[in-house]
Amino acid sequence: MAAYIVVQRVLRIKLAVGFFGISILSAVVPLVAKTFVTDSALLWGLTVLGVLVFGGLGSTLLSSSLTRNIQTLSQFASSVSRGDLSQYVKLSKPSTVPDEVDTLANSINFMLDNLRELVAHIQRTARAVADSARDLSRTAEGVNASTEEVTGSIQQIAKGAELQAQLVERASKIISHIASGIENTARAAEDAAVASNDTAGAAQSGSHMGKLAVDKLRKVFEKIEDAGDRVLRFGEQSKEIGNIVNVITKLSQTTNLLALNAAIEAARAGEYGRGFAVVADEIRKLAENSSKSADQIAELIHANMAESDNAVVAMRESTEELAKGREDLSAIIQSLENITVTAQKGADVVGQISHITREQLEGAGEMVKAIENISSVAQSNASMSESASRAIKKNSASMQAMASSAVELTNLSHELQAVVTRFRLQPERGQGGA
Amino acid sequence: MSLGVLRGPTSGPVLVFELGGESADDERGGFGIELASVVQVLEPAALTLVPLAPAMVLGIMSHRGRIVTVIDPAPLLRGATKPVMGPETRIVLLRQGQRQSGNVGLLVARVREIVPASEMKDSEVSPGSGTGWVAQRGRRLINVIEVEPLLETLVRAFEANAKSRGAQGVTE
Repeated sequence: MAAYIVVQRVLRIKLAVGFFGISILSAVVPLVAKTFVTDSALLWGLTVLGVLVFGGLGSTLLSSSLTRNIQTLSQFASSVSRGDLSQYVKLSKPSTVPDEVDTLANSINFMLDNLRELVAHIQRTARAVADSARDLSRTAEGVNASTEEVTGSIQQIAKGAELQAQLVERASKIISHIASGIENTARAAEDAAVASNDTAGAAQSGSHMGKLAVDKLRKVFEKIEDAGDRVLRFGEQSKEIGNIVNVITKLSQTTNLLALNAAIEAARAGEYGRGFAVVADEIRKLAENSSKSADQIAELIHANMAESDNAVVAMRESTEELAKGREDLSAIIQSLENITVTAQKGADVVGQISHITREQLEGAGEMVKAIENISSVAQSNASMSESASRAIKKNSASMQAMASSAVELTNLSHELQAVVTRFRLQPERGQGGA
Repeated sequence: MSLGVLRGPTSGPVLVFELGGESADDERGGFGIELASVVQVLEPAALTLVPLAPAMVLGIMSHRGRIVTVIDPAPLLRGATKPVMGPETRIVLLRQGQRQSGNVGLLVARVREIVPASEMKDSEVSPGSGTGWVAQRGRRLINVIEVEPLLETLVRAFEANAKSRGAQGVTE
């Protein structure tokens, strides 16, 4: 259409130029004929004939040149319409003075350049689009495969998330159980601390009571030792009395013997010694009684000494036993003091354990909270995994759609290439220009 | 053993004593010796053993510069074998007799008393003792030992001992 408009314009221009030439010739011819012909009619006839002849010649010349170039342009347009963009327009008879046809031919050549460049660009783009579509198709396939893998992975992640949620729930239960165990431990530790404190207090009280008992025992010891000393002194005195009694006994025996011998002498003196014999016999009897009494006293003293010896022995044994008892009591007190210290240490340790257990309990509570958070995160992960799985499924569908679109695009690009390849941009070998 | 010379009842007091192994029961009679045959009653002193002496000789002791042969009459009179030394053991120093037996002391377990003759009733001669007679004081019977037969027995024992030693010396 544009070419037609251009042609119309070119024709108008040519016609105008032709009529302008004819007009000039028509004006020139009468002037020339006036000079050579005087007859007016003839003049007029010659003028008209000249006008017709020159006009016709000029028109013919103009039209033939115009027709030839336009035919050339028409043939070229036909060639372009068949897709041959390899040639430039070459007018068969180029005018010495470029006219509108030349301008048109130049414009067409310029248009051809642009078209060639455009088509070449379209061809390159079509190839690139085809390559890209192919790559896109491959990528879509790859993405599709990856999406399937991702879907599988996401499903595994979802399963893992469910398992994780279950494990976290179990862990939460276990941690709760542990927390309750720690709570029981803390309670037991506090009870143990109280018991240890009670033990320490009882041991301290026992130690105090033991010290009091030791003091009392010491007083008892002192009294027993005093009594033992008294018994020993009594024994010594008894021994002294026994010695005195022995002396008395000896004196009595000696007196007895002297009296006996005096009686013997008196008896030997006969009647003269009879009174003396009686006195001697009385003395002997007194001595004998004294000796008997001394013997009785000696027996009593012996008995007393035996008793006092037994008492002393018993006292010594009692003292030894009491000393052992005091040692045992001292050992018990020492043990109680050790128990007090140990119980106090135990109470401290149990207090530390209680403190640590309380901290553990707090830590366990925080752990329970953390586990609950983990559980919620795991559940969120599970739901997110499900969402991701759904999204991936949707994505997979989209990717499949994209893959099919890529395939379609490939086909379209092939078609485009097929369409664009119809345009020949380079001249075939052995083929000259149009 | 000879029965000894039997003498009649004495008119003097008697020293009553007990021998070793005898019960100290005062209800029993015990032994006695005429007070006229007694010089003194001594406390027992340390005895010196006499070599090759008869078994009844316990040893010798010194009393006021005199050597006293102490004998135990218990084996002879009671059949006891061992002398019993106690707190009341005494030595009854005898007056020297007709035989030259020297100063002799009798070891007695206990001197009980001096019984006047008026409190004793003579009894018949003790059968088989050969050393004295029996005097009765109340219900108690006292074997009154006669000193001379006792000393005679001692001398004969010494002589028999000497003879046996001489015989042993000849045979050796």
